[in-house]
Amino acid sequence: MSLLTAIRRLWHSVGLRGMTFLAAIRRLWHSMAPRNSSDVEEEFRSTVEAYQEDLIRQGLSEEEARRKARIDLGRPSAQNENYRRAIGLRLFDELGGDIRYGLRGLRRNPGFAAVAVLSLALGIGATTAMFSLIYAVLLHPFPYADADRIVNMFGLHESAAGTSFNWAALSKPQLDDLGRATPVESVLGFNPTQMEITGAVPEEIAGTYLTENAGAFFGVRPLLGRNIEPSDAENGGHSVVVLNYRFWQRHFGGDPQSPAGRLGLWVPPASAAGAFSSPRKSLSHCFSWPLRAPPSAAFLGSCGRRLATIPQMS
Amino acid sequence: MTKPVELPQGTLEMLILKAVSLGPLHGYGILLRIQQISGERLEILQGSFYTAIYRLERRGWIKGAWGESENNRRARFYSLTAAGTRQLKAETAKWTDMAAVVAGILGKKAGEV
Repeated sequence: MSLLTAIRRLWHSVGLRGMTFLAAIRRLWHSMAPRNSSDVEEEFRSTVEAYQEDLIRQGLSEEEARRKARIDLGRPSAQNENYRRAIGLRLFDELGGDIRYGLRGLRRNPGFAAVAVLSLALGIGATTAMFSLIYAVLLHPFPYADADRIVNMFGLHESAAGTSFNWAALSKPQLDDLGRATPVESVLGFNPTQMEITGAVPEEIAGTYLTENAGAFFGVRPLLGRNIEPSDAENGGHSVVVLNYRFWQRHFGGDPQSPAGRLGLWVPPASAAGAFSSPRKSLSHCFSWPLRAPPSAAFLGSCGRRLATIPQMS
Repeated sequence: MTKPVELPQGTLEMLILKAVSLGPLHGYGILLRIQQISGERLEILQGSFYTAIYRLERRGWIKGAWGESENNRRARFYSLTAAGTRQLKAETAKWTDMAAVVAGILGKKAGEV
């Protein structure tokens, strides 16, 4: 049940339907404290007076009687407090009092108030910023299809155990074996590498070789052009590249015309096949094209996240 | 005057219900009536007295309405509601039960158990 439904049900159950909002508030307020302070006080005062008269009848002077009544019964003006305590509103009163006291203090000390508000603002802001960062970098799920079913497997070198270089890339036959395992739906191989853009301003960029099933594997639609397709691997592979959004923006100004043929690369010159739709939807920070090397040379390495092979579990 | 009796906790409300069940009374009247019925043996703390009345009214067992007192003073008269009548009946039964059990235990002599 949604919160709204709950509130609406409560609203109806207290019989507030069909009232203006203010009337409803007033009624709720009234049901919380049905009697006001003057009512309570008047009742109490009449008791005090009756008691006083009894005392006078018993022979006390008026002054003595008044004094004794006051001592025995208390002040009528304090009675409202007793009333509210008796019906369980004391907590609200104290809370309200604390809030009022706090506000008064803040008004008296504007400097302190400013510092307090500022520290709160900074604290909340910093926490929010931190969390946004952590969420985006560490927690945000990958934008791929069935991201929760993608696992990253790599072999470990026993000889290098305990070092940070103990992972081992898979060979192409190993990758194919993995792909035939029953729980594995499909398997993607990739090999991240550094390469250089040729042209007026040479630039080193990070790229990733991908096996030809990358488009289907990630299930991400490119914004322009097409994905990497199985046919890209035919006849030893074609030079096809998928740019990520940021790269496309930076180098081609987000030109909606396909930048095909305009990209020179130091590794075999490639023509762009597509660009992904948004920075979030891009494949990591890399751009990619099909693994075109002969199968025997194919090995799969790790990207920034230590990814090696990524079989998709069925 | 015999020795005053101290009320066990929670019984004051029951006594107020009883007093009011005999006819509408204002606060001070309830106090007097309880003292009168008890043969002046109950010392009721004034503070707890009104607290009990407020609580009973809050629970809907008694209902207050403004009226004229016997000496033409405006006073708030309390009367028992239907829920209050049921409550009084239940409390009375409970009290009688409990009192009988306790008295039964305390009344035992050696060899009777």
